[in-house]
Amino acid sequence: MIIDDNARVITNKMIIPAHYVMEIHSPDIALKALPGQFLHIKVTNNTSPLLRRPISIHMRDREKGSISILYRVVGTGTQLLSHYKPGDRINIIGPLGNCFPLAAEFKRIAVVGGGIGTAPLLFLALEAVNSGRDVLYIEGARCRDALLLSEHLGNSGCRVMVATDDGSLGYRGFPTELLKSRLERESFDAVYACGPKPMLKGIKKLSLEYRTPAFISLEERMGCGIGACLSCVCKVIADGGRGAEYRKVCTDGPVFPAEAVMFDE
Amino acid sequence: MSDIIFEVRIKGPDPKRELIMKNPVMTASGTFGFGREYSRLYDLNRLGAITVKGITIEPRRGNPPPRLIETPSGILNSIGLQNPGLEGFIGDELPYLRRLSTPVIVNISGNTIEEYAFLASELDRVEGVSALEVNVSCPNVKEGCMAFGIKKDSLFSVVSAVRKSTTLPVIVKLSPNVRDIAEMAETAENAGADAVSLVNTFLGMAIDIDRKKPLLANTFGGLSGPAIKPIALRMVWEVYERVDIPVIGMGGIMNWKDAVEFILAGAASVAVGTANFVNPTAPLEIIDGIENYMIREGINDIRELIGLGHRLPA
Repeated sequence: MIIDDNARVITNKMIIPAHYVMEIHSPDIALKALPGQFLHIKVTNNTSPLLRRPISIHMRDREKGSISILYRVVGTGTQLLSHYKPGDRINIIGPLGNCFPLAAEFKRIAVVGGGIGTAPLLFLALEAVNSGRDVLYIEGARCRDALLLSEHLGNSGCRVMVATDDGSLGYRGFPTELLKSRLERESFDAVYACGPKPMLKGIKKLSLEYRTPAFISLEERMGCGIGACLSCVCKVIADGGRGAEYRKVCTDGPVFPAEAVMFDE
Repeated sequence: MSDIIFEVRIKGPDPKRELIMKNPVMTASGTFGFGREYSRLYDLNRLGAITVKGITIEPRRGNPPPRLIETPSGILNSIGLQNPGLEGFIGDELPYLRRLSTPVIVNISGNTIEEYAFLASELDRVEGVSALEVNVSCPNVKEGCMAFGIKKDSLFSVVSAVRKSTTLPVIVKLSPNVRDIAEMAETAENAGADAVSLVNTFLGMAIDIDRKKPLLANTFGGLSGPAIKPIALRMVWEVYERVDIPVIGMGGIMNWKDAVEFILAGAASVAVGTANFVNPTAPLEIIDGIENYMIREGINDIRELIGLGHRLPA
């Protein structure tokens, strides 16, 4: 079952300008959630904005019965979200969507997050480390001050690398370039990524070039979030490579094998 | 439970195939998938009826994304009738739906009159289908569909052809994108419709001022949600005054108060659409809300409420 919960906000803090982490008390969702899944959040009881907001699960704490989201304020919906205070009730539905497949044979993995796309990857990286995997975590951001996770991952057991557009920290350039340089030096059993579309397109290219399976988390405008409205589709290869079809990001995804996703219409 | 009579019936030509809803709340086609999606949230047997996603003879891939844009108090969609086709529906979706006690209404679309008639005759013999909703009002496909619903003669032809092909109750889903919706409802009634449902979405669009291009990949889409409610309500009111067959009201119903307005305007039952996305349990809250309203108002039978707004002095 999907859980529909009027949950209590525990904290809602700005971590860097326009970026917030909200921790929500929802024991049932915390128990069931898997890395890559998302919540569908009702940000207001008014009719504008009308729709819920799909936001990936950033972290969960089973003992505390809580889940966290990391979000960037970009429009009215996320603006409203940022106004929630500890103790407020917020309606969430979840956990929704599929998850990043952490197959037993994937022992050495690379996790690549770009910008706010890094949000669902902390949960994945920590689960992977806790299950004894070797994890390289690459975070890409505009500049040093826009990095969201890398400093928190220091003690996590992940190897952490950073790429910034302006070179203010770590590699100067895109996280995909940094991944490419690592793929030249070491082999990975799987790559996991979330971030802007051009970055995911680059991940697909690297996945094919280095014959390394990659799993990418996609975003598309959503209506229902549970597979009924067919709004949030992405184009994937069908008929053994001869054709294409639309798949639902909310229930067939949000995680897709990179090789299946067709980025150009 | 109270003693309230909540049942709504839509009679077809065959007395044995009447559509019987235990309450007046159904889900609107295109907003509820094939039911199974929402069964993960609540017991679908509580609904009056389920109207499933529109189907065509062949599977359809639908329109490219983006397919949905949020507008003030509404949404614009251009899904383009993505569906698994008749065979896919019967093989993959209907077996689950058959297990429910809630009647299933199948929404059908075609490119030609013959396609509508074929779908009607095929579904006529399939177990688990309680009524057909003829979609002559989808604004998001290039051929057919809305083209049939905005001209009187083609509407008459489609509905007559469907009528001849089935003994199931036939509901005709009307387009609001017409000059006179009551006239269209009358046409559907004259062609043999057992009920009309209204309204489908309003043709609309939105433009990205930075890219200076339409936001929907398909340029135009169908507007739904609370933004259209006053217009949909007016149309239900007008149609109720013109036809003798039941009217199914829809268009921006978000809560029980909206639903009661539609019933007072003449809707024998109401369909919940966009609200499913915002609040998945909205249909259940609406069922309870209407019932509580009837208790409060001392109304024992839903039939007393239908169209009451027309009968009371101003």
